[in-house]
Amino acid sequence: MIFAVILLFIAFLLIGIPISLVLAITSISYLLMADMTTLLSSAPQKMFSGLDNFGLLAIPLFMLAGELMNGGGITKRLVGFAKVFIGHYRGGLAYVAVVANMFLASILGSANAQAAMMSKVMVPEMEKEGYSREFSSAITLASSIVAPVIPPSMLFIIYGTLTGASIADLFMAGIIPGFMLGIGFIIVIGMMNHKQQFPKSEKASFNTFIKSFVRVLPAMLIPFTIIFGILGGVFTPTESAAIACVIAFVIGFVYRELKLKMLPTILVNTVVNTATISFLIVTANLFGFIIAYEQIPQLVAESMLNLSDNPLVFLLLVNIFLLLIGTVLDGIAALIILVPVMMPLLATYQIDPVHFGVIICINLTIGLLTPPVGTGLFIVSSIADVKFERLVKAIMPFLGMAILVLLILTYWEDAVMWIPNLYKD
Amino acid sequence: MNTFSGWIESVEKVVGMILIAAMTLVIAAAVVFRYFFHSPLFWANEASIYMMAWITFIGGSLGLKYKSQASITFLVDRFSIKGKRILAIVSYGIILIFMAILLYLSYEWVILASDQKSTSMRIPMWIPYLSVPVGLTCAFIHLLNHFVELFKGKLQGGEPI
Repeated sequence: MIFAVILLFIAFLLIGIPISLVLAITSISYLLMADMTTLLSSAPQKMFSGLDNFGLLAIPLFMLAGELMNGGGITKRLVGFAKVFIGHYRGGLAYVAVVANMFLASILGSANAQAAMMSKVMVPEMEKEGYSREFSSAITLASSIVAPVIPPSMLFIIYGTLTGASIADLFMAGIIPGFMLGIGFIIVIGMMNHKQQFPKSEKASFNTFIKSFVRVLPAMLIPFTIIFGILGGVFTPTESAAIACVIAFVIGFVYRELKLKMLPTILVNTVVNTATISFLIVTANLFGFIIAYEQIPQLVAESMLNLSDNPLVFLLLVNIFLLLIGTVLDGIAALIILVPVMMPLLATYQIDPVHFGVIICINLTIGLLTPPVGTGLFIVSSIADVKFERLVKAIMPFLGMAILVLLILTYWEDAVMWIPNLYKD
Repeated sequence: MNTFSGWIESVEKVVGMILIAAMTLVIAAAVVFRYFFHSPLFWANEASIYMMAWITFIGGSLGLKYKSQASITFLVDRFSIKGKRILAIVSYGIILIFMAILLYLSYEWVILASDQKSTSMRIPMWIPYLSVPVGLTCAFIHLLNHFVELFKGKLQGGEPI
């Protein structure tokens, strides 16, 4: 019977029913077919209890902070600052795209949101200085994947609430991998720089340098508060997100770009965007109950162990599997559905849940860059008006680098775990 | 039907706005009270989790109205316009049937749980629980509206549901 349910699940997904509803519909049909009336009547309870987690509240709060900063005109200030720093080197603006994305990643937690914000500012700027539109869009999109790796991160929050792994640890664990991705992309640009000569901007005067530094300083309060607030034990990630909202709100007015009349739209956007994630968590909680009831995780664990008892082989298989899944399924949905199935395997293979979390979150973020379903590709190709196919071609070198970094992080656990272990001692 | 769905949409938007703003303020205030006044707000965590429940179900309903929930479209995209329309009608049919079952279950659940009290605030549990049937009812109306529009030919089908 479970196979009938799995077939239904796949069929419902393929005819285009939203994933969140597919999870609920499949669960209900399973309970009806198995004639489990008691469990059926507790289905709403199972859904509701998916939300009973304070860590989850960080999702709307970081989203709200991001929306407020978006209205507050943060992107062009970050780009301006990165430009006076490194814009005068050959290929300067390409490096600026990477560095500004890393700065923005320390404020935002979602790659899609960041790709949309950055490509609006960065692509026209780069085109003006003579870069091709495909290349500009590709580098902006590729480097936006540091958003959920450098804290704060929506994916880490979701992974933490699903598994019970500390969200604070996950945030800290993402810092080095985030920098490695950024450096990786810089290396790719450097190599391309040799073949084709990229343009460079004029060197900024010391005065402009100071000026753009002062303009960007208030915005940098946010990552500072988040990282040191959590490190110092002043507040939890969720509370740091609420404080970030308050700061973002004040900064928006300091920059004179946030207007009170923008607030209703900002708040409604936050509600709708939050629910696309949390509603999925709600229905996945019901679905996860059925998965557990049918002992799917145990089945997966047994067949994995038959394959190999080497954790490195296991991680490699997980990486390949997730990269493939990521090409057709939205990353957040994949995370919410698959993590409960994979969790029991971690103890068997003695893999640290925080290390695992960083690996699978980076892996699923890479899915934003892979056709046919990479959401990042769709967002940027429509905002920057680039043909989907040409963007796919231009993104390939960066996609390759991202996968390389992922593999390095998979086998070099210390790079991930160094900072979280540091602050624990 | 369309006006009714639109009317519900505007109520949902106002409620959602108020809730998200209130939740942010409550959590920020909790930090200030604990850290500066050393008197933690004992009810803050529970209250904000319940607000999140309402945000989730109201926002989920709005997300279905705006068709902004993630779905898999690469197969649907390959169909002809007529094929897409048929697929959309089938999908909405399935969704509405199961939505009706879930609605029935959730109303029954809220009524059964009506005398439970929450752990820290001691408020009746139907206050947070009601978010499930209310959100799903609104979602049902929005989806029914899309379904009707699809039949009238105003919606083409093929766009994500």
